[in-house]
Amino acid sequence: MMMLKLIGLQLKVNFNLSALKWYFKHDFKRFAGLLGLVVLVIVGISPIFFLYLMLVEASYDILLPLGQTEVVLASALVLASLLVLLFGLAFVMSVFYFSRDLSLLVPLPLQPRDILGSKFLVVLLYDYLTVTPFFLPALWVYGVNTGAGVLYWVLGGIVFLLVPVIPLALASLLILVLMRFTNLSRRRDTLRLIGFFLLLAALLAMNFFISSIPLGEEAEFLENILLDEDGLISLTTRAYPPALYAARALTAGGRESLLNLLSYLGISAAGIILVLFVGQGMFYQGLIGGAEIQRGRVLSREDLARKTAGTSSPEWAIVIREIKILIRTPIYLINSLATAALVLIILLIPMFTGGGQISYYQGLAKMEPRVVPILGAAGLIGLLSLFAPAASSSFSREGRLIWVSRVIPVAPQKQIRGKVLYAMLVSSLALPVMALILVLLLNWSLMDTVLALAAGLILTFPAVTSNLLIDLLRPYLAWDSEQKAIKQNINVLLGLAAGVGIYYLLFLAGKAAYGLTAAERPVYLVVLGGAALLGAVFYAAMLLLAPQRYRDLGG
Amino acid sequence: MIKINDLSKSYNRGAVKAVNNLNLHVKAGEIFGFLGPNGAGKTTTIKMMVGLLKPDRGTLMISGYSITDQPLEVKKRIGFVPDTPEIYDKLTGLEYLNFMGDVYGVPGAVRKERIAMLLDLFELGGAVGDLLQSYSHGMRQKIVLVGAMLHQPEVFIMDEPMVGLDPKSSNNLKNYMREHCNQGKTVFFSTHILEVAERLCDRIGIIHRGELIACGTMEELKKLSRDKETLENIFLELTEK
Repeated sequence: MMMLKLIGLQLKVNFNLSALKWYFKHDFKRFAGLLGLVVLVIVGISPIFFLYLMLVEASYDILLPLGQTEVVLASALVLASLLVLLFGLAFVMSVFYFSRDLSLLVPLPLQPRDILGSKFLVVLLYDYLTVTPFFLPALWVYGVNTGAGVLYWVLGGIVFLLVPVIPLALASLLILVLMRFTNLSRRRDTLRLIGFFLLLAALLAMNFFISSIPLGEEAEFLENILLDEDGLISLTTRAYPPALYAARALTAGGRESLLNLLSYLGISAAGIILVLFVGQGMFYQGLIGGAEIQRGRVLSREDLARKTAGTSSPEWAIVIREIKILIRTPIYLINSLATAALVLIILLIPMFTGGGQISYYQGLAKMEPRVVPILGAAGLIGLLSLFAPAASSSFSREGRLIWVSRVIPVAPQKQIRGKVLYAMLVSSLALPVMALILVLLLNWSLMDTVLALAAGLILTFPAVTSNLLIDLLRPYLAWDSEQKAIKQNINVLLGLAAGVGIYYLLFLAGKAAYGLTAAERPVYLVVLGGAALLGAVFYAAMLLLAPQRYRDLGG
Repeated sequence: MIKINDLSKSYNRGAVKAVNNLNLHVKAGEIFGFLGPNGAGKTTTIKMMVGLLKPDRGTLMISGYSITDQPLEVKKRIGFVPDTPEIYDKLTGLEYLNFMGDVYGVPGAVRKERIAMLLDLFELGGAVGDLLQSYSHGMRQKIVLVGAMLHQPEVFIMDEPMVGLDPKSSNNLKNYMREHCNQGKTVFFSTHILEVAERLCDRIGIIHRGELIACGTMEELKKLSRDKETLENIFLELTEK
């Protein structure tokens, strides 16, 4: 009963329901604006969605002659579930342990499981945003192509609702245990970060070990898969076995459908019960005392004199402030760097799973004309910068402390320069990683590598400035927990959509340049020149708008 | 030093007049206390003075510069302490002070001396290496005060600066305010502690429902009231009309 009340409260707070209701009644213009923004995000991301839909269609056509079309559903289920699990780790940690409302809730006469249950539901609802673009296209393609009846669509709806439950329960259990056992140490923040990355690495390693093809037996393996009518679906769901029940519930028909659905439902329910049960015992043990800060040693007169004698320019002072806050706020660090790292790992994993993928990658990396792989690697660096929302949440992260930036005697233009510099620095963390991949794994020449890295930095520029511009125009400052500033901030999605749009435009321009000239230099000129120009335009727009925006922000 | 003419600010599209036609001049070397009941318009006025709110109407000049037209010139010359000491949790006290030193352009040698002196004044030396997250409310208030004093501003603007301070620090702050004004600089602060205002301020302004209902020295204020004994009685009489 208490949990239901808490769920109601959490929904109102997390999805701004009360505020939306108020705007609807008293400030319809603002309500319509918010609605328009959601539509804008959907429209912005829809090209990627349609690309995926086309990919699913094509996969269906390939699988049709093999009689294994249900693999379309199974692979979408596996993909959506694994994404919920991997990204869920950071999200669960943020919502369960770093929400500011916990200091209000814990002293209330509530059971730990009540608080945990309500927070679990909040994360679950957000996860439907992850599941929707991956699962619904597959459900649609399979249903339409097989001429499925009403029962299929009803079962599809139920399966859709269940998809994020098991992976989220698993992520919750792992985080509950991690937080419980790292709460013993003085250096809990460091341990938690290390633990978080180890968990992520272990999950990925386990997953790809299970699904990799045995080396040296590729031919027999493939033959078995193609001959066995369930071969491919079994292979696909090895990475995430519960997906097999979900796929069978939708495709087997009759009694078997029902049995599989019941199994899937049963595992999901067991997952939730286990989270609540384990949480009842462990949640507070990981939470209480988790925010305690260790006192450092007292500074001597000499240390104090030494540490206060150096000066920096105002721009650098801002860069240093931003970097220190990023490093010392686990939520920011996990959500920016880990997300980018995860994307990189997901992209690179096929290289280590055997089955000839590494030679495929090497072939791709050696393709001619050289401009394609070089700008491709550069584009990847730019894309990674979009997944580390250093720029798209830069103003939002200041939250209530925006007053400091507004009263200090540093021209808004200089502050913007500091923020661009900071975001470029964070993005450039991808450079050494890319350099290692290009040189060691793909055997690129030093020249090509340097060219790709430099081009990557140039391509990062418009991503950073467009994302900063978006956040400057409509920063989300009224957050009450850090995870909302970065995780539940629509600017991060808008920034991602804008960045992808910019890169797509540059790709089209580069392709056209090559089509017209059949030479590489014009492609570099068009793509990199275009990126620099777009970046400069967004930067100039920021400088122009900054004085007025800094005067009005949060006021 | 501070010249406010016909200053107005309203909220909810004019429905709530937070500050209405405020006129106020504060001279160099003066400690000016700004009093008023909750919601009278004190914080709104202060926020307009430091550039956190845009006035609907009127002018606001500090040290001869307009906050609307030359905000950076004004900001270089003021030190501001807000009503709640919200600062960067993830910086240490020292990092925060160095940040403030950098943005106000305080040279290294000067900064070194001033930080040492101010940390002694507020007895913060032992905690300055710790994250601000670990500071109590009072300690945060002190570090914000030190950050705002670092560049020795011409005009020191504070919103409820005594809240959360222990008696000794409160006394030290009052002494510092007096010394600051003795150097020809100005202090403008809001407070609910009437004894402090009575003893410390050269002049006092009382704002009520957005309008300045009284302004002057203690002697001048006493003339406005039937009960001339204490500032508390004067305040209550004027604001209950």
